[in-house]
Amino acid sequence: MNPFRKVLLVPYTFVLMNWAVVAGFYYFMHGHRDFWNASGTRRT
Amino acid sequence: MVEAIFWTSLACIAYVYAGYPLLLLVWRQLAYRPVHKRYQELSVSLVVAMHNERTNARLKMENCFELDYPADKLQVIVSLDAPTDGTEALIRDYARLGVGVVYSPVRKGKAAALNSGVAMATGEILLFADARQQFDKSAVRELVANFADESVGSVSGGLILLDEQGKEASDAVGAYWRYEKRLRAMESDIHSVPGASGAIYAVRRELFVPLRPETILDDVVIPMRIVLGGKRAIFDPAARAYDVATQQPELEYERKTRTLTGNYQLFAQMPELLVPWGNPIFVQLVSHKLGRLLVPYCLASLFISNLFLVHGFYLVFFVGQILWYVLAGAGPLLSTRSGESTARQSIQFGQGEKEI
Repeated sequence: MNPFRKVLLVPYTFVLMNWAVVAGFYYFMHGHRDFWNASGTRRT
Repeated sequence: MVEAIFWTSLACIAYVYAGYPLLLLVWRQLAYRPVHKRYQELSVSLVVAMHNERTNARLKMENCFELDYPADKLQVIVSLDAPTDGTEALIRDYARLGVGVVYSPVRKGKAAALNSGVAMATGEILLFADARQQFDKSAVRELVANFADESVGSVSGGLILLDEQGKEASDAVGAYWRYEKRLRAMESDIHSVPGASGAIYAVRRELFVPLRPETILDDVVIPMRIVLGGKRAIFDPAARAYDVATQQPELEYERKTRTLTGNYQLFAQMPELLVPWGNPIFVQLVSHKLGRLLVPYCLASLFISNLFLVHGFYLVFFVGQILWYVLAGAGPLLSTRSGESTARQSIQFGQGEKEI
């Protein structure tokens, strides 16, 4: 990736990563995204 | 009042990203605690949880067999969590070569898969890894050497993100990861790191307590339990694992969302972490983990308070914020035009091991 584009992507990446905090809170409160599962194991 | 909100928000953001690293720099000078490494060959159980890892499973297994560690001291265990893409068939080939396989026909999640794998483990040291990343040949030897120091209960290796040329990634995500590793190194030198890298971390067998099945961040919960128990959870960058960096921030966003959801869950599951006199790394945890959870709200309050302060310095600052967010808004165009994503990258952060 060209260096100029890399620099230009910094604000976007920063905002996106901070938005992930807000999204993370939403998913934590609502239990979305297949983060939670349950039951049964057998050994082979 | 508005000025107070502005400066408090700015101070909070500045502390999290700059003040805390500076505090660690000074703190390390005053309270450096070296780890007394000694190369030894303790028995190790390497536990890898897999869901749908058809593209990574064979490479991971080959990597396990190439490690510079005595074969009779290294038990490899794969815990399969209801794969549907043929991973099971691939792994069964390796069962004939001595790899322990635990299979769950029902999807239970990564934490439960790790518990099942550990139940089969016989090693003095448990080494956890994700399917996707490759270990350096000396990684196990480097990790295990740290356990010669009795105060050490958990060791995290260093994950190195590589770009397409095979060099350490230098884009925004790569730079952020290098910054993160420097923080971890300083925290480790003082006492402990509040979390390990899920791609490569090891713990003493006797300190492992089975995870709650719904746990998202095993790599934070396990080391933090060890720290609360009185041992250190350190970071050793000499034990390396490699991964391909994503050049699309959107893919890193997916991974980050999962991690941050896990951070909220961490504080809900382990409120004792927030008791200053009960947690030996309270300041590090609050500054590193909790601080990051507060930053977006501080950014919002900084922007909103700045709307009411448009004179002198505040006006310049406001223009700076507007420019920053305009550039951020243009990011999706730049990102999608880059056209440099690969199938492997989409596996890394979208569908891979980290999502199980």
